[in-house]
Amino acid sequence: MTTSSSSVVGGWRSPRDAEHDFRDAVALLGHRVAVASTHVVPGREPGSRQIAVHASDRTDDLSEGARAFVYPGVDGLRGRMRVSDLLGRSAIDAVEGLAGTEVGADAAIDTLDFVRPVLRDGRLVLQVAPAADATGPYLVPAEVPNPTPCCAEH
Amino acid sequence: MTHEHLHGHEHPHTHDHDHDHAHDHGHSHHHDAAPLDEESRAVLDLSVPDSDLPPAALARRGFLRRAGLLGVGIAGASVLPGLGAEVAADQRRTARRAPRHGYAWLAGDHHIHTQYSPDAQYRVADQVGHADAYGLDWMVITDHGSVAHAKIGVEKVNPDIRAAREAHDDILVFQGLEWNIPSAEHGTVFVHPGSHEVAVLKEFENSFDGTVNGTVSQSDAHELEALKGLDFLAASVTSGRVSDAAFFANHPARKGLDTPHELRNWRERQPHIALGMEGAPGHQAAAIPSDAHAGNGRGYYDNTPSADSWPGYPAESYKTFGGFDWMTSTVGGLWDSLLAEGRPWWVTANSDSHTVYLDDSVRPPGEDTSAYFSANGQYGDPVHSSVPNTSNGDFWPGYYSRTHVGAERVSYAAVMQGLRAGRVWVDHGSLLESVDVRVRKAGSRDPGYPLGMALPIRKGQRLELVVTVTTASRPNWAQFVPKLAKIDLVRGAVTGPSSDRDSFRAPDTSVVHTWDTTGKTGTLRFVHQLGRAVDPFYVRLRGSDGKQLAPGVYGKATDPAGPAIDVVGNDDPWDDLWFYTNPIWVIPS
Repeated sequence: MTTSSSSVVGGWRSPRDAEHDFRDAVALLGHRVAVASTHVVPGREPGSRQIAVHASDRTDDLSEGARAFVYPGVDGLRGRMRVSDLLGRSAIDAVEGLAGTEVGADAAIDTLDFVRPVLRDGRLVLQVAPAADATGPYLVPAEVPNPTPCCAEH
Repeated sequence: MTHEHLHGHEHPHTHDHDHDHAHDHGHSHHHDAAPLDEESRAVLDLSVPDSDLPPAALARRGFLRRAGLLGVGIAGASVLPGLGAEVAADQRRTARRAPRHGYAWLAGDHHIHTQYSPDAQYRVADQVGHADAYGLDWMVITDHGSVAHAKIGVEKVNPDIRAAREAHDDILVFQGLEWNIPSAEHGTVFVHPGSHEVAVLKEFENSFDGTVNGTVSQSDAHELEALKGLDFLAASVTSGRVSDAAFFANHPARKGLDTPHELRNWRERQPHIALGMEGAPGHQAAAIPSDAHAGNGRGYYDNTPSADSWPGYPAESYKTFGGFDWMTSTVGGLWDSLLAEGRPWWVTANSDSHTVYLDDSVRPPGEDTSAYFSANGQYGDPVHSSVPNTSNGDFWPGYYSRTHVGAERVSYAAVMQGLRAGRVWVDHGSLLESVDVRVRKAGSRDPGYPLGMALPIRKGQRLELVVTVTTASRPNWAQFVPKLAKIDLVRGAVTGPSSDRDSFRAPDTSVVHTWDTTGKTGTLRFVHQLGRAVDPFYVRLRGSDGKQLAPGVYGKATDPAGPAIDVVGNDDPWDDLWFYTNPIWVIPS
């Protein structure tokens, strides 16, 4: 079996920009990858950093610290579900609450259609934060898709 | 020898300290018992550049350096260069007991925007009028550094500020700006009023603002630009262009941009200019439940790492805890790691007021575009719209966040001196009327040493902590009287400079005592025995309404009931009130 993988060090400032450009390129080439992840790597200037993308045909081709945005089951992680469903439907190995936030198997999680686990000690771990609305408490991924931009309209 | 011989200028560059530094340490030291001759002092004083030393003295310094006895290598020695560097040198001149009559505690806010910011809208008169009405005694106008601001706004705002000073006798209005710190986050920079206040701020912004100069991204070269900016402010004071200047890091953990080593570098480079950071960010209304606030973090702390973020920060550092920044709210965390080094670094709490939750004013149609702002350096004056805005995330200055400064008199200079001395405590929602913290010899009737002090005390002396709290007796701006549920005493060993400039851990610091104040009102006085002073340590206080408690980031043994992580999209800031004081160090010798 032949596999291919590639890394692109594109000078991106944010992982989201890197993902966006990568998806454009993949769509253009009509190629499907099994996993894709972003990484922080050194930049050109001393002390600077940039975002790189690594993509591969092999589902296990993620390195320590990789922030995965393409991985088995990611397309099924939309809307709200139980934590156990999220674990059952995807390659994510564990859901971990920030700063002591409790995470039960039956707890509700709103995926915000944006689930970015990180490979830590060989396991894909999704960190989540507490959230709530009129329906009660639930969890959201610690990384949200639309952070409040600085110095823009609040 | 005593520790005050060693100054904190361990950075390898040389600069002409007589001109570049605001402080007057120069070569005049304060020795209680100083058997050292002039040359020995110069050898040990790292603020004296190598180039200023005679050859024999330089050789002596070289020997000490190679032996690891000067600079960072001295951590294991019996002196504490961090404290020698900063607390002693900076504060010995003011190292005196609190006045018997106490201080004038002046409430303020050093982070406020107006129509001269591209993301804000109010007149200076609006912000000052509200701040005055909500009880503030001092405030700083801090519009964002930008091309339009550097060119137009920084000058245009000044007549508005001067008019506000004339119109309001009861509030001090500083002009400042929100600096885009090269290679880092934002920070408040402000100066003492005077005929050159605009000229200094304008030159500073044009020369050192990261947005104006394209130096915002993380790099070694950009970090150096930030230090040069601080040098410029210090030189502006030394040269007499302005009589004082100060810098605070704003929302430091919001995006992971302020690395631990940058905080240390800023402080060491200009300890009289770089004074501290926001312990609590503004935008405290950002997660009050509303459709427009779904997904918001309190303080707009809902960001995640970018290429410019320091990879060493954990995911929880991007969140707030009880409304406070992770650097400050974590017992044994980043702030404590600085205090445990003996490094003065004060915390504040501000509104960051841009657009106020439920306010119904808007920018005027036609004068509300970015083109208008670029051309005019401001938006037009706000107009009435009849629709309360539920997407805004801020409070008016004084409405929720307060930075209380112990001033020796009511003046611009005294506020800046109080901030520099660390006589500062902060609260949310008017949780307290007042708090006074002193350390003194056990059993004495001495007024004791106040917040921000390092006690020069004899080894073996028994000490006690005296806490006097007056609970809130009047309703706050949410129309209820806050109830203080508890006060925590945080204590940590002072262990000298960390070999890791990016350390954000103080493993020895923990909550050592809690006073349950449930149901208690009026003026409460607690005396706590600190034991015999043997090894150096510091203490600080924190207190809460007790409504949102959780074990701290480093576990129950460190912090059994600290601030809980704030809830995304649903965090009522009035139901989770905290106060924090700055520390007092005890340095036995």
